[in-house]
Amino acid sequence: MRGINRALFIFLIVCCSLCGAVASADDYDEEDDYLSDDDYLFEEETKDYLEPWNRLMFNFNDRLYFLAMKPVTEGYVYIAPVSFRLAISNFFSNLSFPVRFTNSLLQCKGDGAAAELWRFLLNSTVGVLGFGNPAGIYPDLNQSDEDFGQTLGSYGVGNGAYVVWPVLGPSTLRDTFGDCLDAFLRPTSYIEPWWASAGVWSFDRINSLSFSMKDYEAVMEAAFEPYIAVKDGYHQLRKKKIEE
Amino acid sequence: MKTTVFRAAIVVCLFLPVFAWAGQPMDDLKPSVEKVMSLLKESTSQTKKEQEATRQQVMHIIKDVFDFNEISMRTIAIYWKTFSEEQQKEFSDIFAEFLGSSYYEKIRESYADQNIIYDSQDIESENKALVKTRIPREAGDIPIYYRMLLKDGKWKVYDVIIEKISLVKNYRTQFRSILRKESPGELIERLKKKIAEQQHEDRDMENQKSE
Repeated sequence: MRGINRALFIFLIVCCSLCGAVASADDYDEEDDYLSDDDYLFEEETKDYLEPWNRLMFNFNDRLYFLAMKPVTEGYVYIAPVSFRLAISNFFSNLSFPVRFTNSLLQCKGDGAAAELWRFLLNSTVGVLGFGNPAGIYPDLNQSDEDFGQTLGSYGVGNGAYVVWPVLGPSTLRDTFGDCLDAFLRPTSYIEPWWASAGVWSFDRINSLSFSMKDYEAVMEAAFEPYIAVKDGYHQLRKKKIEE
Repeated sequence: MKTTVFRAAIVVCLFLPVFAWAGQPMDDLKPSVEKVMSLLKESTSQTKKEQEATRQQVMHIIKDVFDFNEISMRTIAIYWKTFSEEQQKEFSDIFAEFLGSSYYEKIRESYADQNIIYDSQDIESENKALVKTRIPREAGDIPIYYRMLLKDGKWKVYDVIIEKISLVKNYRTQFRSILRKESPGELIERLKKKIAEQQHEDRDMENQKSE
């Protein structure tokens, strides 16, 4: 029964994202260099179909950050030394090897997939179940940051509508669909009961937040329109990752 | 074999004039960034008055290596022509002040004790280059790229790309959404307000520290 529900959910998302994959390019006057620079031309702006919902969730997540995530992370940083937090971070990133490996293969990135495999083997053994990162000293074995959203993007699937999820944060319909598929490749999704799985997920999130504590606040302080700034940042980041 | 050498020679000759009279982008950027970093390291043990002097010095260096007029034009983009000449000038100056102090605060808070790694410089065309740097952090390095433009024999920064996100593009998207509804004058007012807020926050921080 649960499987059917999931399949239905995914099917719905695919339908939505196919309908929503509309992007509009702004018209640019080409006579001046500052307007016709290759890197800044034909910039796509995804239509924000779900803006009222998104803004609501953006504010909700902002509150959540200041009222819960920030104090919890600060407490965690206080009790957990850097070496411990790094080990946890290595462990979780090693566990999500299947996601990066599969998606490297799906994008025909043989070198990336091979590097991921070597990295996984080395870190799981010499690195003691992935808590250490002995592969880190070899630049050739860099982690290739691939996911299913990028795979779909590289196949030419458009973003679909921009959507901000409560707790999870900014995404698009395509990337949300990708995240659902990636979840099947993540061993931590199979932990039973579901709340234990959610607990492990939250721990991973807080642990990675502990390394970038001030980043969110820095972005918010430097922004004139924080909602727009985050939305644009998300699109820029995903676009670059897909291109790479 | 002969043709390869010949081709290589032609390529070298083609680029020689460019390299000969203009310095390398990395050479124009690195000393300034290093100077800023060393000033910031000194400032941790300075009194408040000395820190203010350091800040002025840092801002002076930043204004020398960043082309704020170019940055302003690129962030305002299609709306630039709707600004009067005075407004263009005023916007450039205030935006320089804002970006300069954001950059200054960011480095002072997070990176002052770090050493920047200079990876490479890609010359993209005769007047454009991309300088790639990294700041080491516990859980992976932070890539910071500088887009540079050659003007009057000097390379100057016209965009900073932090972790794959271009600041110029990001501000342009924000300003576009503002300028759709508001006039250039109103945007300038917003900028002034933002700078006042920034300075206010700094003062609050200082007060908290001294308490």
